[in-house]
Amino acid sequence: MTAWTLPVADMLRRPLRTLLTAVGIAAAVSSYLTLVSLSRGLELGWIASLEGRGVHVLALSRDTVEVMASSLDAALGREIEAVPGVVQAAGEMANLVRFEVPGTETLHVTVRGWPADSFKWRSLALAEGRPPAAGEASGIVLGATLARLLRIGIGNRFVFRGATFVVTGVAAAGGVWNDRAVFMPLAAMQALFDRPGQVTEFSLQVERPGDAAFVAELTQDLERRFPRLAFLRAGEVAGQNDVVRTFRAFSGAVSWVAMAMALVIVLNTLLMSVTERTQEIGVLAAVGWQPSRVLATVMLQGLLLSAIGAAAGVALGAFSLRVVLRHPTLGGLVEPGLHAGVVVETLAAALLVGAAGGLYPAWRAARARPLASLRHG
Amino acid sequence: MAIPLVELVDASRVYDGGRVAALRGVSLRVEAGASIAVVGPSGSGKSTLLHLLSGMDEPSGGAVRFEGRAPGGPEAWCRLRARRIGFVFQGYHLLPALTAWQNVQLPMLGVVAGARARAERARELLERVGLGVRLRHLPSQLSGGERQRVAIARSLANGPDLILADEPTGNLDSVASAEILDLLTEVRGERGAALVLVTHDPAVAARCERVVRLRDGRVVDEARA
Repeated sequence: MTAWTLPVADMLRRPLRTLLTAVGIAAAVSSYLTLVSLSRGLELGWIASLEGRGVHVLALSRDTVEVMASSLDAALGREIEAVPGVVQAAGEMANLVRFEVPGTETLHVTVRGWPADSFKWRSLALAEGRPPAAGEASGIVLGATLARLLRIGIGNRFVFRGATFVVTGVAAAGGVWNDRAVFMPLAAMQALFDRPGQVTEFSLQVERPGDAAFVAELTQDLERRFPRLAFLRAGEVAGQNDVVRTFRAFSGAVSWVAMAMALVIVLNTLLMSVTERTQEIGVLAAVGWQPSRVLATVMLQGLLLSAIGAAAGVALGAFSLRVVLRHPTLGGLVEPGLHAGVVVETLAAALLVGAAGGLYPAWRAARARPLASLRHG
Repeated sequence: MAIPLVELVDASRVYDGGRVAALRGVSLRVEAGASIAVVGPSGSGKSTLLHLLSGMDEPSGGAVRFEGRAPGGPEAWCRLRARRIGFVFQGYHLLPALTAWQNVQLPMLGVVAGARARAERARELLERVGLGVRLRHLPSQLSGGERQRVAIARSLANGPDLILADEPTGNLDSVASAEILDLLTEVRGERGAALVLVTHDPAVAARCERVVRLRDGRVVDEARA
């Protein structure tokens, strides 16, 4: 017999209650995992899209909530490039559009316009083909997933917003955003969206990207010179974005409500168990169990229930995440898959809930006087 | 005079703000290795006396001393019950979800190091009380006499110096009662532990060295059997 024997025996004695409690915890853990994974996947999708294009620093309009809605003068790029430490400042126009794929589904596709001399064309990994040549206004590159869904490849025509393009390459840059993106010359995109001379952001390559101190000093210098712009390192962009922050806050709030429900479930189950077992707890005190051991036993039961619920919840969460990501909008924006950090965070949260839910029942059991408890019932 | 193992000194226990007195100024010395039967009519304070001796209840007046000293608070009494005092209840009080084997190991957690050592000791004790073949049975699968044997084995788990038994044969038929009494007498003799036994049964009391008679919460007679 070990410290586990009594909690396990009690759980087996009431199998239906144990099962229902574990199911409740699993549902909460699953909700938590799904929501946090969506939030994290959105950030990771953005980061992957930038890193896949060799961007070190991103320059955005400081007061714009949604990057794609911002409007910057493309000529600013030359001024930014003139700052010592900046190798290139490539203007980019980005937009998110709904795209009908005949016979399948509606996709949300990122459209990106780059100048012909942008380093991004060179950084973009291609599965096949080439970027549009300078002056080739009708050439485009499609993300690999989009090309597959559209069933088109190199040399095929692609009609978009009434204009006809020719596919010159298929990108394999990685990241869900890139896989469903359309990359086209900046001038063509400005014309297509009626925004001549404008870009939504500038992507910078800097001299020593691996030198964090250098990059920090450079971005501070750039912000002094261009007070209307915010300069963010690629890894920070998603975290600083208001849309991502809002989504993160929303998913955080909902997921913690789910965990609070799990806490109440554990609390309720253990309180019932402790009340039912008052006489048995009196026996434990009568045979010399210290209050601390009684407390630890009830807490252990809470942790065990949570661990079982958490394990089932992670499996359920992984499944529900796959189902949710079939949605065309989310599927195109959120980096799929369970991330180890999120799973660890979820398991830790579940165990915390188990411990917190067990605390009050355990305290009640531990302070029980042996004689009064033995006379109970 | 040698220091007794445990003693009540002018101990009283009242309830309901003093309106009900279970014990009134009782003094009792229990020497190491002694066997004492506490007899008396229902409500005379026999069980209360036993509860005070085990530290499961506190006296309203007077004192309870273990080896000449007041043990202190509830946690000190817990330690004593874990290591020095074994308790046998009339209603057995076995944990229904645990097997006989596990029930006997219960007091050893935190006292005897190592799961294997605990399991082995519990097996020996259950074999000693004649239940070697019932190790994995739940209390619900045992007869009343068998349950009380498990409870006795449990009370011996940590080699106590004092065994307190509250009407251990009260729920048993005459055959099972005789067996349990034989067993208690034997294991007490083997281990040199003191035994304080509450009983209604004069035949049971006659098996002890001393008989203390209570009435209305007072000792009215004490005799050597």
